Amino acid sequence: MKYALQLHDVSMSFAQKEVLSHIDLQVESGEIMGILGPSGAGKTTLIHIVSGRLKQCEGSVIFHRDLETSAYRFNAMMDTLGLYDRLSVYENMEFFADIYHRDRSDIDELLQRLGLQEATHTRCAKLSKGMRSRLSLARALLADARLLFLDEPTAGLDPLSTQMIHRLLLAEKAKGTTILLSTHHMEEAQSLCDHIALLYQGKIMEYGTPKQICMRYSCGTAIHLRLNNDMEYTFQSQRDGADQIYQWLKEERIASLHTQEASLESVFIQLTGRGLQDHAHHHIDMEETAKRDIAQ
Amino acid sequence: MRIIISIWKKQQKETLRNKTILLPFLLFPFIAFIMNQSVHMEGMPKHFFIYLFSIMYITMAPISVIAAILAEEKEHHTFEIMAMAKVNVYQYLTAILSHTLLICMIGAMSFVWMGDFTITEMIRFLFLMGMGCLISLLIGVIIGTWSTSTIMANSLSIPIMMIFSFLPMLAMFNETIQKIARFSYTYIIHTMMLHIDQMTWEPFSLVILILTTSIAVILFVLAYRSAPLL
Repeated sequence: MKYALQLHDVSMSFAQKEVLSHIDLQVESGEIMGILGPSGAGKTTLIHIVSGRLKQCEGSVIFHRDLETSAYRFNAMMDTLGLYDRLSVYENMEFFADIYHRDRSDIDELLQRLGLQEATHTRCAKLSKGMRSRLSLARALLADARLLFLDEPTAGLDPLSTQMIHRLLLAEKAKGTTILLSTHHMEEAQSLCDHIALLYQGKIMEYGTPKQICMRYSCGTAIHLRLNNDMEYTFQSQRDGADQIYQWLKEERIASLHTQEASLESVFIQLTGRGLQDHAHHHIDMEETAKRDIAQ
Repeated sequence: MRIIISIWKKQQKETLRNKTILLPFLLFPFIAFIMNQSVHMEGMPKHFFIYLFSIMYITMAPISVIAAILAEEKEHHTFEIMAMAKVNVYQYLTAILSHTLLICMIGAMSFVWMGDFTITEMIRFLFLMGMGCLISLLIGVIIGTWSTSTIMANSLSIPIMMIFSFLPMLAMFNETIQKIARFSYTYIIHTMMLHIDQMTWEPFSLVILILTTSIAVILFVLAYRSAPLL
């Protein structure tokens, strides 16, 4: 197995508060690895350690030798975007193209791929959120780095921009780029990522392919049904409700019936539920997800 | 060198579009010109307003501009992006400081244009202006490094700029202030400007200028250690 990046027993503390605790992570070359976790889970610290901006207190970060020798082995699209508002889209790209020693034709190609060619001469301050995110991604791709970290690339974007970014990520993956994708969107992680690490309170709670993780925590397929009188019921396992469902079927009282397979979202709630109750560091998204789960 | 030139080009575009940064570069030469043309009093030293406003210029323009540039880069998280592009702090500061110093010196040329200096006086005047700008740039870098936002940079810059730029003027009217002002780089530069036709380096002035520069460098190192730019 060829690993682009390996983290061995990485720990990090700020002012005696442990932000990352004994992180072991292997990222295969050319895969999309999802890092899932709420705000404050340690994702940004992890990325700063990988990028070399922070030195971990313990452990080691090892890049594959192919990455060690490349000029710009690593680049990132951070959630803060880091754009120059007074410069135009093209000038933002031009500045970094000069630093990365890239041709002007690469700028045009990237702007076209990300649907920004019509905004080429628009100042960044006047761009919509979606366009700013796409520009930030275009700039990250300009480095032609072999390892990309994308921090919430689709947060707050419209479905069209989200789809465009998803297509681009899959195209980059096909080119052999290794991508670390940090996201709150479980569906996004489930559909794009080859492997997923669930990060919570600085610890990796679970690691594997999305399917493996779901299977590991699945207690059978839940059944959700609605009766003719609009009453709704959810049975957590088929065995639980078998007799009752059979009875309703005989009485022709069922209006609709659906199966609910285990999702990353439910796994995450199972794993972090206790933590969420114990600590105040929960994110609003996680609160909403938890409320939905309790309602079921 | 390629990286320094890239930052230079970027900063040039940014500066030309940033009214807040451009204002101090234009304001002081403009006021000096108006005062120099309109106010003439008996017994007033030659080039009085040119020297007075050039001191304000070399204090206020470099400090406010460089502190604002650094604080804005921090605020917009562009340092993080530059760090990933392997830009180091020396490359960044070389580009930004040389760019700002050049703009300051262009402004200084406008003061030269206002006064009927001889060639020797002009060279001496520009040298003093350059030295003043350089020390002010270092002070601006310290403020920019310490600040986490442009608001904080402005709040810190204003009192420091006011003290250093007004000290030479206040020292003219008050002996106690003059005793304190002797230790400030702006007072020394102003005094040297007033005697520009016979400029000699007094050891005390030289010590103060070197000491101010050294303190500024040490403070920058301390500030950078606590909050690295890149």
